[in-house]
Amino acid sequence: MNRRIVLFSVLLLSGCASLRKNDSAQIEISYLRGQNSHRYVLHEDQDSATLKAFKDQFLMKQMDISLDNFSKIADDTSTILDSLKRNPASKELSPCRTPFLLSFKGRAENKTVEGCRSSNEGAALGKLIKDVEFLMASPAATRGGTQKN
Amino acid sequence: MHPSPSLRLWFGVMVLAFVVLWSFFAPKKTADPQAAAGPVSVAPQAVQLPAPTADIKKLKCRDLFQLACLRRGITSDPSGDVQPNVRGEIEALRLYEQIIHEHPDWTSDQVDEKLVKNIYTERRRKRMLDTFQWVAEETKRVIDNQPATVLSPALKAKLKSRIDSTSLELPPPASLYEAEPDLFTKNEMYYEALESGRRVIRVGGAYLLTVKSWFNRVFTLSHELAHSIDPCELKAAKTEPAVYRRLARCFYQRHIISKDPERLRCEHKNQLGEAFADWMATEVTAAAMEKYKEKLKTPEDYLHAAINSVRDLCDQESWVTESDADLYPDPAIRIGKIFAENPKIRNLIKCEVSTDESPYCSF
Repeated sequence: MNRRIVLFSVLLLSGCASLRKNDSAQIEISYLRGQNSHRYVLHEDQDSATLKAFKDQFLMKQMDISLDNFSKIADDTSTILDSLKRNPASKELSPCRTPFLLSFKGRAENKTVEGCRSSNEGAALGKLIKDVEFLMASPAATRGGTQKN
Repeated sequence: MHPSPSLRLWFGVMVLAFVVLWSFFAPKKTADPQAAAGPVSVAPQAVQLPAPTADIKKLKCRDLFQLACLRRGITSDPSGDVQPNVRGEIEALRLYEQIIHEHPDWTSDQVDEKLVKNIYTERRRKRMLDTFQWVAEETKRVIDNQPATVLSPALKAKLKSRIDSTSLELPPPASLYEAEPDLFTKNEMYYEALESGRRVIRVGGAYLLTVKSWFNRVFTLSHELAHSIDPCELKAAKTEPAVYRRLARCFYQRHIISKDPERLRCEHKNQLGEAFADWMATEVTAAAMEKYKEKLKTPEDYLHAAINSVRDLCDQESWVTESDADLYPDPAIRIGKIFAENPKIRNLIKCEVSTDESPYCSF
């Protein structure tokens, strides 16, 4: 009987663990400007979150961030993605020199949007990137709730 | 009491031996960024390729791309130097972090305003604005110098008007780059026709920290300004002059652009606009080297000015999300075929002008 309870508990826990594992989320912001590409990858796992910033193929910075800070960026990303899905950030008349890609996978989301930063709609991405960069430079990044804007 | 000379000698030998042994067996620092824990700034490791062994005099004429891009260290010309792209970005990020550290209660807008004041100083702004003004005048001169049979008076007027209505936007205030606030810490400079109809050139803060060479400012600003009259911008403005079509065909025949401009012109990710901007910037840079002649005293000065003009093209990266052809031609083409094969540049760096079957492209 006890063995059954232990076995059931183990299965339940492993099930929960794999469920949590599936709950991991990743936000990716990539853009090209001038002749450089930039990429920010924010990843959330069971109980930790990380932020990586790349320029071209180089890792410029890697850091842990709090789950609260990840959630704030995730909420903003989700809002921007919804808005860009409704109003695509594309330029019809002149060539785009600032193409971007924004994606959010996990937390029951799987969205990707491409567009042009210099379009009126694409300007929203600037604010998101600014928040990520502010977080990256802030000593409070690993603590929750102190990011300002 | 003083130690005897032999004791001092013995002590000296022991210290020396320790230093030698330590240099061999001391633990080495790891540069693996993935291994670093916590918030760390990781300076990318510059690829140190061996210095070209071939005679530089021959190499500069045969392969300026190799000479410019595989060169060790920083090249100085009489007007200044060009630091690696990433160095300026790291410096700008450190300034940004320092401001946040000193003012933990500031909002990101306040931090940006302070950063902009520290980077876009009056002196640096003036340097850029003066160069821009010179570049704009020189670009218009290139247009004016074309015979009327090549560029009609009406087309010349249109091109010059587009140049005149393109502005160089430099903060402060930080709000000038409201949609691109991340530009303050970046090395790039870019041209964009905004949806409001304005045509602007914007400059990343790191570029101001990285580039001291006048020749690089000339090449980069004239490249961006040339976009205001490039074939794709003109096509978007419903203008497709025959002379531009001939030029595009020449780029294709010389393998400067990869797509046939007769079939695919200016569609997404086309290299034509970039090739045109490089081609025009090369003309303007050649004029800049002519203008600076008094200060370019030796053949090395000319070579270094040429290298610095295009040095930052070496670090070009392809757009990560696209599988089709890149937006820019390869740096080897941009430097080797567009810049280094320009007859004026070749004369200035004392190289024979190529007697290739297909001559250098012109209007």
